Amino acid sequence: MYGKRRKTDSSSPVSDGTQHEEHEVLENWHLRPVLDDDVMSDYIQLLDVYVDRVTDPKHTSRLIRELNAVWPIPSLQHLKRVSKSEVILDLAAEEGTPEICIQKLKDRGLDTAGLGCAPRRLQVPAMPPKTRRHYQEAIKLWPCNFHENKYLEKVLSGRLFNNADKLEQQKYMKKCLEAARHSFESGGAGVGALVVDPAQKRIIAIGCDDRGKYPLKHAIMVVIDLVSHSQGGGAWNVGDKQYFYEGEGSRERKAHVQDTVSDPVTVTRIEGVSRFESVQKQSSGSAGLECGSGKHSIIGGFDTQAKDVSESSDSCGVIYSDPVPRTSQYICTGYDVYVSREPCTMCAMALVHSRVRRVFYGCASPQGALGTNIKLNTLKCLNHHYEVFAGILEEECKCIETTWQNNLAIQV
Amino acid sequence: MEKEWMNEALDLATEAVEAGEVPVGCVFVYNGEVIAKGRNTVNETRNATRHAELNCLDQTAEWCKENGQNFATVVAAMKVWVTVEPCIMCASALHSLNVAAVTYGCKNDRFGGHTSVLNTAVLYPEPSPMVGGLESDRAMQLLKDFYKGTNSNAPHPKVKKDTAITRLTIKQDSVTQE
Repeated sequence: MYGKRRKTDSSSPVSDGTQHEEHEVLENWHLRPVLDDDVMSDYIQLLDVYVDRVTDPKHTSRLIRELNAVWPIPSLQHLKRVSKSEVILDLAAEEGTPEICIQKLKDRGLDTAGLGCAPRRLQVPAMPPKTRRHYQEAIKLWPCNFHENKYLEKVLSGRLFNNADKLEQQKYMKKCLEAARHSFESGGAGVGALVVDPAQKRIIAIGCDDRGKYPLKHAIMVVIDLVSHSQGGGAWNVGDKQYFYEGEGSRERKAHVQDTVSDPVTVTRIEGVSRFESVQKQSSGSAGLECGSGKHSIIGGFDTQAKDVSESSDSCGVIYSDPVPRTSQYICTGYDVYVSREPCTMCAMALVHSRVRRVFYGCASPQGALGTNIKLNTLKCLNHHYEVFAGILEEECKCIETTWQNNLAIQV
Repeated sequence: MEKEWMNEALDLATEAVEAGEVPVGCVFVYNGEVIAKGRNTVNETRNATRHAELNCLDQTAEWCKENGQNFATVVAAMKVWVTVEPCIMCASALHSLNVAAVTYGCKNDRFGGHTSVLNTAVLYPEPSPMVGGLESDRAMQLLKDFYKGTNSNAPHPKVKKDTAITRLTIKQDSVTQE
C-alpha cells in the first residue's frame, strides 16, 4: 500500500467547474490517512551495535573495505559503515563484550591498525527509514540511506488532495449522510455508503444500512451488491432509497426499485440524480466522449488506471466509458468508497474482496476495522490493499453515530 | 453425523466447480436438520462477497421467515459446516451473529479468519467456537483441482513448472478464492 504511484488524482479528466455549480464551500474537517503503525509512529526502532574510534584517519577507507569484506552486516545495509571518526564493528549481542568483538574481527583477518580497539555500545536505527520524518530522527544517531517514497510523503503532508478534490469528497460524504439519515429512520444503524468511479467522477451506487431488516445488510455490503447489480449481477433486492447507475450506451440509467412518486423525499432525490446525469452528459459531450475506438481498461489496479487517466486526458479529456460494464469492469476494481462511519471487520474484508481503490470514512466506530480495533488495510499478507482516509465531515457523521450507539445502549 | 454434514458440504463444493466457482461448500444445521446449504456464487452474482457462508445466512433468513422463527435465536443455536476455513469477512459475520459452532475442513492461507491470517474471534465479545481439520484433505484437493483446471473467470498467471501444486492455490489470482 502507498507504494510508488504514477501521476494521479487531482488531475482528473473531467473539469471541476461543472461539478461544483452550486458553489459548495469547503466545511471545516480534516482528512487523515490511516497508515501502518510503523509509518505513523513517533519513534524509530533502535538496536545495539559496537562502534570503535578510528584513531588514524589515513586508515579509514582501508578499514571500511576490510570490515565489509571480513564482516559484512546485511541487516544494517541502510546505515553507512562509518560516521565521522567512528566505524560500526558488529551487532552487539546482549552477552557480547568489546573484547570478544575485537578478537572475532582479528581472527577473521582484520588489520586493526588505526583503530582504537576500545569499542563502545551505541544505539542505531534498526530499519531503513520509511518517511522523511523518521529519516531525520535516524540521522541524528547515525548516517543513513533514505529512498523517499514521494507518494507517501504527499499523503503524510496532506498534499495529496487539493481543494477541488476535497469539495468532491465532501459532496460524496453529504450523499452518504443523506443515506445515513434515511437508514436511521427506517431501522438501520444510520450508515450510508457510496461507490464512485474516480476516473470519471461518476457515482456507481448509493446504499444505506438496513440491518433492521437483516443483520448482514451493513451499508458497505449493500452498496457492494448494488455495484454488482450495475454489472448485471447482484444477490439482494434493491431496497428503498438505494440506487445504482447502469451504463447503457452513452446514456446513464438510474435503477431504483420501490421508487414511489408519492414520497416527497424520493422525488427530491430523483431531481438530484438527474442534475448529476446532465452534468455527466455535458462534461462528456464537450470533451468528446466517444473519441477513439479503444475501450480503456480500468482493470488491473491503481497503476494501470492512473496511467490510463493521464493518457486519455492528454488525448481527449475523458475515458471512454464501456457501454457493457459486464466485461469491462471487474467488481469494484479502481472504485472509491465513501461511508459515513468506519467499516466493521466483515465490511472491511468485503472491500478487500471487491478490490476497491480507496475508502473514505467520516468518523470512527467502536467496531471499526480500519483504524479503531485493527487496520485491515495494512495486513501485509492479504492479496489486495486499498488506501484509507478518515475524517470527512467528521462531526456530522459522529453525531449520527453517537445517536445510534446511545440507542443501542438503551436497548441492551 | 459430523462427517455426513461435511460430506454434504463437500458435494456442494464439487457442484461449485461445475458452475465455475471456487469450490467451497457450506451447510447449516439447526435441531439436527439442514436448514441452509450453499456454495460460492461470486462469478454468477458479480459480487465478490457472495461466499458459501453468506449465501447460507441469506437462506437461513428465508427459512426463518417461512417457518415463523426468530433469526437471532435460530442462528445462535445453529451449527455451521464449511469445507474451507471461513475468510475474515465470513468469520466476522458468523461471530457477530453468535452461531453455536463452526467446523471447517482445510485452512485458508490467503484470507482465513480463524487462525491463518487474522484471528477474528478477539474482535467480538462472544465469538463462536471454530474447529478445523474435518475432511481437510478432500476440501484441499477440490481447491487444488480447481486451480489446476480451468476457471474461465480467473486470469492465468505463468507458473513455473517446478512450483509445488500447493503454491498454485496461493499464486492464482482470483477474487473468487475464499
